[in-house]
Amino acid sequence: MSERSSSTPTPGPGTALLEVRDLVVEYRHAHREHRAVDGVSFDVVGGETVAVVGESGAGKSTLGRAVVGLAPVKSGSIRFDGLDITRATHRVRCGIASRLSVVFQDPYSSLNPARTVRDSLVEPLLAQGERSKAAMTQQVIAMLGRVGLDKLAADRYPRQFSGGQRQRIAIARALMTSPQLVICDEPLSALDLSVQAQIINLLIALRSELALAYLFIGHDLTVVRHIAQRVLVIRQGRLVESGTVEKVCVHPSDPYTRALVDAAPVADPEAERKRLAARIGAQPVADGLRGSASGIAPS
Amino acid sequence: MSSTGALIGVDTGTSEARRPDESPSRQGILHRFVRRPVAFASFVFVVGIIVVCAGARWFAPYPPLATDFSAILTGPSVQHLLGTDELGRDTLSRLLYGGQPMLLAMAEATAIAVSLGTALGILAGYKRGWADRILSGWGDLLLAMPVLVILIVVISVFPSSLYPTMLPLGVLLSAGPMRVVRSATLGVREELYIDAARVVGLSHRRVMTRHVLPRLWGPIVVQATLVSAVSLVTASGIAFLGFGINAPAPSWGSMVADAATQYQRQAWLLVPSGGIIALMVLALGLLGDGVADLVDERWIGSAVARVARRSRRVRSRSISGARRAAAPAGTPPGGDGSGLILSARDVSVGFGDGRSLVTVVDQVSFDLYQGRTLALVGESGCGKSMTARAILGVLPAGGRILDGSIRLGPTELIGASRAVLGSVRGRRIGFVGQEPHASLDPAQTIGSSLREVLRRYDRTLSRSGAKHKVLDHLARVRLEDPERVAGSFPHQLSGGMAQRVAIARALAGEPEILIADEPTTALDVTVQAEILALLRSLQMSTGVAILFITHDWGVVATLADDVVVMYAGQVVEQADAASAFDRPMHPYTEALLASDPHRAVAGQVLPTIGGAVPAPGSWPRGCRFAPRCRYASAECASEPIELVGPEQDRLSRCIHVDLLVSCT
Amino acid sequence: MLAFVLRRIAISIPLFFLVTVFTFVTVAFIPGDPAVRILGAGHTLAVYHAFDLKLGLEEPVFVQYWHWLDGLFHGSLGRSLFTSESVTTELSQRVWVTVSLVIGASIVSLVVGVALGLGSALSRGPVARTLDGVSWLGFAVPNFWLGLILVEFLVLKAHLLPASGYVPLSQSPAGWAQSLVLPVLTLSAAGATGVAKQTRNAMTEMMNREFVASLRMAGLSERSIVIRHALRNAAMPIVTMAGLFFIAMLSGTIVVEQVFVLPGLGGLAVQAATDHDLPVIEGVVVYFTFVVIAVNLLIDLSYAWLNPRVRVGS
Repeated sequence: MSERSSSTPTPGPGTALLEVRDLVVEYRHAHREHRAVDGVSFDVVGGETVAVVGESGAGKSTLGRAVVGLAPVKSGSIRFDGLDITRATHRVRCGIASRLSVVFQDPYSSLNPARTVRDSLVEPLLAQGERSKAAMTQQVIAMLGRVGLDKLAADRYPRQFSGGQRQRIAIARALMTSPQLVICDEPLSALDLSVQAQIINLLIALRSELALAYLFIGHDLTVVRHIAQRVLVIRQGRLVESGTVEKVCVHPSDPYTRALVDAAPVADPEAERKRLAARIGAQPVADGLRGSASGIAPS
Repeated sequence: MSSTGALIGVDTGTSEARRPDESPSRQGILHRFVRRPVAFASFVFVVGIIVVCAGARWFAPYPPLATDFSAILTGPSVQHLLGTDELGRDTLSRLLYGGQPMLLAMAEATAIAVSLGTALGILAGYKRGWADRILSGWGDLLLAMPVLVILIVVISVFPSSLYPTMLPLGVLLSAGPMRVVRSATLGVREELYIDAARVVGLSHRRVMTRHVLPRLWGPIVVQATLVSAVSLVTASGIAFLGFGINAPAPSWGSMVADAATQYQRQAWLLVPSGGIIALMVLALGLLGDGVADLVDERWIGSAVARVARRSRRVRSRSISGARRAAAPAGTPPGGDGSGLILSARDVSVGFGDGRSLVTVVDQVSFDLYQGRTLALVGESGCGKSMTARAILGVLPAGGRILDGSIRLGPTELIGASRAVLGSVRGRRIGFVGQEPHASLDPAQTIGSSLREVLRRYDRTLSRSGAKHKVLDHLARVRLEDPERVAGSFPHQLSGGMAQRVAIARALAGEPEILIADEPTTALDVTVQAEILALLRSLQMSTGVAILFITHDWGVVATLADDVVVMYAGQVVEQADAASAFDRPMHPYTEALLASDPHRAVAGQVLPTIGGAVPAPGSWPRGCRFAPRCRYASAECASEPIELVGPEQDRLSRCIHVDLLVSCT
Repeated sequence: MLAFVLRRIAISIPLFFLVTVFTFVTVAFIPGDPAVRILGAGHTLAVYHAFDLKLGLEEPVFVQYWHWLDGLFHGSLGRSLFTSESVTTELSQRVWVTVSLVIGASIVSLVVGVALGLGSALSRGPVARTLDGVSWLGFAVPNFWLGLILVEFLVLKAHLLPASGYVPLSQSPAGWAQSLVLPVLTLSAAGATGVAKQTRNAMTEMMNREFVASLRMAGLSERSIVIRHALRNAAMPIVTMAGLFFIAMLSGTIVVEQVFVLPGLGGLAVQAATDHDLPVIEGVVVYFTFVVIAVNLLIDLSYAWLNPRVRVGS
């Protein structure tokens, strides 16, 4: 089942865990087609963290969702550990589900409010056919400890936790089956800044403990610097720049990337004042009226 | 810059976010149901009627057809509790027997409607796409049929029995449950936890049983009660018309028809015959309502739902009952008072009342100066948004100002009359919120909404004058093609444009103060930069004072002249912006600045603040930050800490400022 | 918006045919020979047979339906099996009674319902609870019973209004109005309740929305916010609900016309059902369905107009 395609380029050391080639994802909405992802190609090597950065509506979330089969792929290919999962059947997905998992953006919606934390955490195990309640409970408690939560948390409901804690639970769920690649779909966006720092540290610590690869989707370049080794910049479904974090964030070659870097707020009053004065002096810019490119709300 | 140790706090998951009494597992559904008298009584009534009618053989005092010509058309008496009819037959017994065909018909129609509707609703809501389109069309078709007309047609084929007619009735009524189940299923289907379950490898069947079906039983029960009520009335209507029942067998509807013929001689007969139907329908309706509330509660959490239920009425926004505190003559930090426009002293805001009162803003004070920007900084739940809304007296349902004084020049805003507040809102203080689209009336064009506001501020404005002003204001916020924007609806604008419109509206009255509550949080970073620049340039040209609420230090660095830091409802630090960044004088400010990912050094572990923010209602007695503070000592936790001024123009709520400063 | 409207019209056509086919097929399966019912017992078989032939009752169902459709396109709905009168003539005499009743009841339902719902949503404490209670009563009381009770109190006891009978508008406007007061009140009770409940829910939801808070903060008066902004946005679900109740009221006329002895379509429907008078039943169904379709279309149109996303497109 897992044959390796000989024509796939393998960049750098390590085996490419995820290979995406010319991916196109199209949505139909009210008789109009919208290309959320337009010919994107990249690799994720085992153990590395690749960040996908872009503004809202750029298609970065759709990219992540396509990899796990939650978005309709029009053309292109996705290979996970050599296996073609572009339009995989449920059975194939089940087979790789233990090695590929997701942490979603909204910690308030990614956990079923009517189920205990334990119920949510055992789902990945149930899907893999695990039956022993005792074994599952043990794993749940172990994982809760790993993400910094007490074992008492297992019998509580999501609403009894703060946003940061819920995100920890979501991360715990993603790690229950010891995956190789975790897709993090804007996991920090709904959190306060100081809580973001906690979660970033957690993700980094877990990465080295468990030899994880991350596909980290976000919109904040400065934050992404800490966790990623490589960065892909997406604009309107197209890849406009890719490279190491230093190269993209410090010496961007693409004007859009440069605009993103320039606009990112820096907590230094003097620098910001200078930038602001420059902006006020510049020409006024109007954002395009919605509906010119597509009629679809941003992702 | 000192660096704090990196700590991932070990949380027990208790209390930080919510109050302790909320866990539905502790209170079973039955328990909570019994706690509602009306719903429970209705349930008992419905079940009771069903039981006595089903067991009429044992409960009825007389056989249904037994006549007694010595007691014709009597009113209620000891022998005949509900009187007799024109043949001396006991009304009570006839009601009991008469209930049988009615309740059976009701059960039949309900069973068909609910099962058909549920099955189709789940199909439509889960599969979505073409299945949904077809089924929704089918539902529309059903709803468009004139029910009784169809039934009359069927009845004409089977005139002597109700039951065949209940079949098409059930099918027609299935549209209601189908719609509701579909929308509930859709609601669940779009939740991220369904996506998570699918990614994890659960089959559709398992997703359905684990996540979708449990959500549905509530709406299904509610719909069942509604359908029962409607089918009961319909069946009795058919019986009233003389169809479906073989006289002289009694039924509730036909008894009403009988009573009608006799009302000249004995008006009482009408009462029990129709009354039983009305009572049954009422009970079913109240039962449904009770179950609906119960289900709501389960998904929101009981305490919150209780407050929400009590405040389901729309509360008037003018502040009522707040004691007007004598404004202490405090010297505002930063200046001698020149240019001082607004002065807030010891403002407290809370939700609920009596024992369930929760304070969310605790004696906050600050000043606003002409042409200067004050940033109110803090994380979620610290009370900064509530503070801002309290200035204008517009709080969410259940909220009210408990104490304090807010002076705009000589005018006191807290407890002010509606007229005074009306003259201040928009004209002297403008407001811009976080979600640009949510703050605009979706059914009104931009031009129309601006015109409305402008006319409100200046009643002498003519129509053409208003039109010109609208275009001026839109141009002022640097919108290209103001005419096109003025003719658009909010949904046609991008987030950045909508926010510019909101700013234009906020400044339309040429106010002295602009309150901006996280106006850029929902926007892309490039758009954010433009909006901040816009605000600054507007401030420079109009001299408006800005109260800017944010959690983002980068934004503070860009725009703020002065900073007030809030934590757990209190002000913990006040300083000018530069000093706040350079030399924070409160451990929270210091830790917050340190843990900002934007400030961190690449390659090093990010500093964090261990633990979590205490939620309103569970604030500790002493310093609220002490449990997470590296400088904390025993004295910190024992007594509430006051705000002190360690330096000129600086305030800090910390007794260890000296420790802090010396470490820098 | 045009596309939306056209689509809605397109759906209405199959609905119309579906309902008429259903009626035809159902009635066609009535057991027994209609000729016996109509002519009475005691005639020879030959007479019945001739009667059937004359009326085309011998032919298979779908042929009969085809003939009927043909007649429909030529403006004729056939003749009553019983009275041999033209169905269209009979119906057109009665349709105005039903129409005035339903329109009157709809207007009352809408006005009273919206007022009740607004009052309930915007007030607190005892006032709101009373209004809620009134709503519940309207919901629970079956319309035929309500009609009878109204007659008992307002007619028999107080002699305020006529108990039954209909006075045509052309004859005397005052009499016409008087004869319709009780029936309209009876019919609108349930409708007003439903509209009130929907209004109250929609208004409460609207008033708690962010844009309402924004408008308050912009200094607009509470009154203009409620009427010009909240109500306008809440109008969509209210109008939809009012439409549903209109259709329900069409059914209700059947019962109400019996109680107040009004010569409308409802009474005719009941009579025709008892007599198995197929052309008349079919004719009543056609009229009702047509009205239902027209009303649905109106609701859809107003929905499309009220909802800026549909009106202008996104």
